[in-house]
This record gives sequence, C-alpha cells and structure tokens, in this order.
Amino acid sequence: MGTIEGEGKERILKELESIVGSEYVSSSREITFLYHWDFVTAEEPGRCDFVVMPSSTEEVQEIVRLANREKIPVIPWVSGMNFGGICIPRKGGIVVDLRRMNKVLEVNEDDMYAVVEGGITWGDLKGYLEKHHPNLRAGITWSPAGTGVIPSYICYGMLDLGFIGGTGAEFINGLEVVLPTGEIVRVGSCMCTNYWLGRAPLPDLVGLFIGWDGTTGVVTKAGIKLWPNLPRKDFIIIADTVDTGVKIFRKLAKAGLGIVDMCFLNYVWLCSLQGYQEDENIPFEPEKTGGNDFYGLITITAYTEKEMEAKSEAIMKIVEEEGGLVADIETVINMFSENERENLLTLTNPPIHFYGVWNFSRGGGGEWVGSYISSRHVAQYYEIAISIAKKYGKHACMYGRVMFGGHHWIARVNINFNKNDLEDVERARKCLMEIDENVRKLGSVIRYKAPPWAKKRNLEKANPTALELIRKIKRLLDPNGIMNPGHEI
Amino acid sequence: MREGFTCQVKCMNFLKKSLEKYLPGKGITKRITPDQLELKKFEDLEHYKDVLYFCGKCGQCRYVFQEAYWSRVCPSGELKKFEAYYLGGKKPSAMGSFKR
Repeated sequence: MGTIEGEGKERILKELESIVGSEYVSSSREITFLYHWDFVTAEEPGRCDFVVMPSSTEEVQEIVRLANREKIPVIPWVSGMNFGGICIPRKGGIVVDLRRMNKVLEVNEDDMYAVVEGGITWGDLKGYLEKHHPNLRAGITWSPAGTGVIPSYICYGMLDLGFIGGTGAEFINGLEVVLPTGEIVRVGSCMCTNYWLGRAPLPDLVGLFIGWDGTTGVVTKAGIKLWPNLPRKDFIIIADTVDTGVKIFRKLAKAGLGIVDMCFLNYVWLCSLQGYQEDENIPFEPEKTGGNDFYGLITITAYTEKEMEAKSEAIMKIVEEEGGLVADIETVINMFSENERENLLTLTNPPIHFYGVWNFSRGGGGEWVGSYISSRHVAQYYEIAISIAKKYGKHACMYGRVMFGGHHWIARVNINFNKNDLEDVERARKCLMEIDENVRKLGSVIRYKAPPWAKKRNLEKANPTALELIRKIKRLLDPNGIMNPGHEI
Repeated sequence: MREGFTCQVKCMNFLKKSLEKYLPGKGITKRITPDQLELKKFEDLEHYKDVLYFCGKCGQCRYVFQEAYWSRVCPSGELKKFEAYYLGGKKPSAMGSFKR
C-alpha cells in the first residue's frame, strides 16, 4: 500500500464526496498536510491522500467499506493530539476526521452513564454536562478542551477520577465500532439491550478495541461512566524527593479516605505550569539547591462538611507523619496573582485552560516516555530519566498518577524541544529513546500511547502465545491490514 | 487538626520561600508566556515567528470557558470544519511563509 495518484485518486475522491458531500472531503495539500503529523512530538511526519469528515456511523461504514474494497489505509482521527504520534498516517490513505460526530446522545442519570459519539472532545462533553446535568461529571484527562474523549479512553488515558475508577479504559461501558471490513458491531451491555450500563456479564469484547491504537476499527459511539459531582477539596503535598513523595502517596492510597485523584509533578513541570520560559535557570537537581522535587495534588470529595473535615484532618496527619508538607489549594492559590490563580485552579478542574502543562512556550515540542508502572519503581524511573535527560541538556518533566485505589501507577517523563530547531528535535528524540531503553530494565514498565519504535520494544519480552493471539485477532478483524497501518501492536 | 494546621503553615512558608528564592534574579529571572508578549501590529514577519512556534495545535483556541460553561468559539473553524480553518491550522500555514 502506498499513496494514491492519477485517475484512481479522482475516482476515490468522487466516491467519498458522494458519501459525505463535497464540502467534507479533501485531497488538497493545504488541507491534508495538517493531518501529516501531530504537531507536538519528535516523531517523523507521514502522509495521507484524503481527509473525510463523516457525520454518522452509516457514513463511516460506507467510507470503511470503500477503503477495504480498494485496500486503502484508514486512519481514525479526532484531534490529533497525543504524545506518541499514533494517528500519523504512515502509509497514505484516508484520514477519517470524526469531529462532526461530537454529540452527547443520551445521559442516564440513574445508572450514571452517557452515550457519546466518537468525535466528541472534552470541551463538548463537559460543556454539555455543565449545562444539562450539573450533578454529574465525567473523568477527564489533564489536557486541553479540544482533546478527543474516546481516543483518551481507548488508549488508557489517565483521568482526574483515576484513583476511584482506573484508566479511561475502565470508564467504558460499551462501544459501537465500524470494523475494518465494514460491519457495525456493538460490544458491552449494548450488544443485547438499549442500556449502556456496563461490560458484564457476557464475553468482554470491548477489549478488542482498547489498547489497539485504532488498528481494529473506528469507534463511532461509546457508553462512558459518569460520577456524582460532589463537593470537593484539593490539597498540595510537597516532599523533598520523589522517593519520599511515593511513600506518602502509598500510605494515603491505603487509608481509605475517599480520595478521587492523586497526581504528582516534579519541580521542572511545576515551573512549566507557571510559564517559566528560561529553562537554563531551572536547576537540574532542585533538592541540591534547597528546593523540593515532589509536588502532589490530591482531591477528596464528601457529602457533608463534617465528613470533609474528618478526611482533611486524616490527610494532614498522614502527610506530616511521613515527613511531607501539605496545604489546601485554596490557601496556596492566594499566593499567586489574580490571573495566575485562575490558570492554576483549572488543574483541579480539567480540561485545562492553558498550555503551560505541555510547556509550549519553549518552541512547541514535547514527547513523553509514558509508562504504566509499579509504585516500587517510580523513584528509580525518575532518577534514570533525569540523569539521561541532563546528559542531553534537557530537563525531564515528571508527571504521574496513582490509579484505581493504588493498584498501579502511571509515571511519565516529558522532554520538551523547539520544533523550529532540527538539532534540538533530534537531540530530544535520542534522549527519549535512551530513557525508554533504560527504564524498561526496571521490570514493571510498559509504555502506553507509544510511537512505533517504542511499541516494538514493549513487546520484546512478551509472552509468545499472547503475541500470536494478538496477531490472529488483528488478521481476523482486519484481513486487508487497512486500519491505521504502521501503528499495529 | 492542630498538627495539620502546623504542617500547612510550614508548607506555605516553604512555597513562599521557594518563590522568593527563584523569582527575583537568583534562579528564574524572567517569566514569559505567550499571553504576556506584547503583540505589536505591522512589524516585520520575524517579529511574529516565535509566537507562531508557541502553538502546539492543542485546540485550546477552539473553546472558551465562559460563565461556567465550555463552548466552541472559532467562527472559521466551525464553519468549514477542516483543521486548516482553525487557528492551529492557520499557524502552520503562516510558519510555511517563514521557510520560503
């Protein structure tokens, strides 16, 4: 498979136009080139032949049928924002931009779930819930409002309710998917009822589309869990090192305090959040300059004031016992100027309102080594990452979350770079590869939303029978290999 | 609660100290974020180059958080839908002009 030229291209363009209307399909360079790279990472750009914007499942189905008949790659696309380049078209073909499918179709307040279309973004979802169902909330990643909801969920995104609900994948009750061969399938409880309330008790086929990075079908609808929007309180926790911080978080996780979110940053990312641009002035080892290197943010919810007070007291006691410092965020926020306060408070209520979290002020580039990990290895992971990053003259921005009651953690190291400086891009790429190579030796590290080179490394020591099963499933679902080629597991 | 309160005061003191230490010239001396840049009109293209490269195509410009609600706000993007009509698409086109 490759890019399409000549008469064949004209014919396919006309067919796509007949499916979605001529205003929603393009093969012109000035339109398609914006889908060739994700604009953030250090991954090489790709190339597509067409961009098409369907408005319904049936239109997606017709597009996929056409692609399967012609053996043309299909790349599902919502916002193109991720740190692994997983929607970069690697072998040409049709980018199916789902942004017109951005509606909330149903909210069931009793069973607390919503059914949404595949192209919905955080801004769309949250805007809808705030207006129509303010007593409910969704789990949201720490990302801008334009980020796609379904890609975040099916790629194991870490949500701000991750401590009670797990990864985005666990928030999915069911899916409607257009398979690579053009059939429409519903998986989860919606396969045999109109209620999208969960994945039990039948075989859990949702897994056929989770963690596959868009290589097994195009998700057109999803049932997602919602949660009560209870009064909340946020705390900042400070520890001198990541090691100490991990110990504090581990103890908090086991205390049963109704915590809904536990995340942490290192000093460098804290500086990014505050918009510091002069990174040469940020110390590589903050603890050696009298600073601290672990900044936690935890959120609790409670039904009554008394309950909130009791939980707050327990949190403060535990943190102090373990040698950390703690303050509620309302108090901390008063230290900042008025316009900064508004920005920083969005961290407790994503989607975020500003891009400092990705540190775009330094030239717009950023890529991560983002990993699922045992809490036993988080501190070592960080030590490895900062020492390698320092060798390349880079600061390692650490960000992590404690997931699902503390059963597993996510640790992520971002390396920033200037997109306008090719040497800097190359340096960042080498730095990321070296970090990845070394942190994998810790044992529990598995990368998620990984670019193709890291995906291969992920599976080097995988169980061969499991790998063969993955290949068989892929062949069964996508016999012509059209779905997001180049990004296969 | 008394222990917690002491801890909170310590935490506040530490944060204050760290800001004092790094802001006024010893460590981080300058805070520049895109919204603090002075965007003069009718300058040479070179003047705007850095501003364009701040963009990470994050999509923030497509939405606004106003009066407690998130809403879509980009007129050209909402009209034509393709990425090229949102600011995140217009900026790369502008970047191209610097490379010519």
